[in-house]
Amino acid sequence: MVKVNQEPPAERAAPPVDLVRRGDRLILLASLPGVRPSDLRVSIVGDRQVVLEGEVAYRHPLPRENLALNECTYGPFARTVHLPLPVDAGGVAVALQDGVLTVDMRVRAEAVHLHWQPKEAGSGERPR
Amino acid sequence: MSDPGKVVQRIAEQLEALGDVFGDELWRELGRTGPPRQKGQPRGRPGSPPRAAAAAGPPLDIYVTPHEVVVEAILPGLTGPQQVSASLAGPTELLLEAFLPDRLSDGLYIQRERFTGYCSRLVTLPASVLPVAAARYRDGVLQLRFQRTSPGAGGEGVAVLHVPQSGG
Repeated sequence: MVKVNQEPPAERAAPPVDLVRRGDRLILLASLPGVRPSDLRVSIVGDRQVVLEGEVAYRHPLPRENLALNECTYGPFARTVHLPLPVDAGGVAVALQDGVLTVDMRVRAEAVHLHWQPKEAGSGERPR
Repeated sequence: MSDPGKVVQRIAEQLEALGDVFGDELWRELGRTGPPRQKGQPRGRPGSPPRAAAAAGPPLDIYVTPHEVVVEAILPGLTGPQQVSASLAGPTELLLEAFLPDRLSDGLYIQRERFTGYCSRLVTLPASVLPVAAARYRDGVLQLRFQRTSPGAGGEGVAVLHVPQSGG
């Protein structure tokens, strides 16, 4: 069973992820520098999980051991993100641009209208 | 022969840079597999906690060809090389600076792991270069190609590199 949100399989790297709520949208941003669209797979599992899988392809003309400095990571990655709200799998837009993946999802939840009584003047005074 | 103190300092800087860009997940990964290391250098100590992201910079790959020194920097979320500042403090000391923008500044962040904001990186190049670079930005990776100077040739002061305005 795949663990959610934080723990990737031991042999794979996991990209950092932001989750942003904007209106009725839930937007996932993932940093995937060097990933080509053809090397990326995005899945919505049920209505509460987004699974990112793919590979960062090695791109240099020299073998890796011949690089003067090698800090970039290559190879497969995977990340399962648990969503705090259910989403509509039919309303998902995916874009990969400039090394940032955007998964724009429509939240499947109904807004609750909150009613409250405004405070009366002087109600905040402490009793003596 | 490298000064051991400088080697340790450089490794620490590289680890900080990696952690700042990739966040906690990277450090968790390093805890299992160990940090990347420069060719021919001893392994550093894995699993160090990430520092608060400040002026540490992006991970780099650097290689040398007969005529060029090629530097690639991981900088996801830019629109092009015009958003990066590169300076040479001498023929082998390269300073990269960039500001990684917040894409959804008007949204409510529920979870935040990606690095945004100012980052910089000072690195010693493996060969002397001229203060002009061809820049390319693709898939979140900045590539700078420097022409090498002849061996032994040097430069003085800080030179701001010419970076084409159109790129990407």
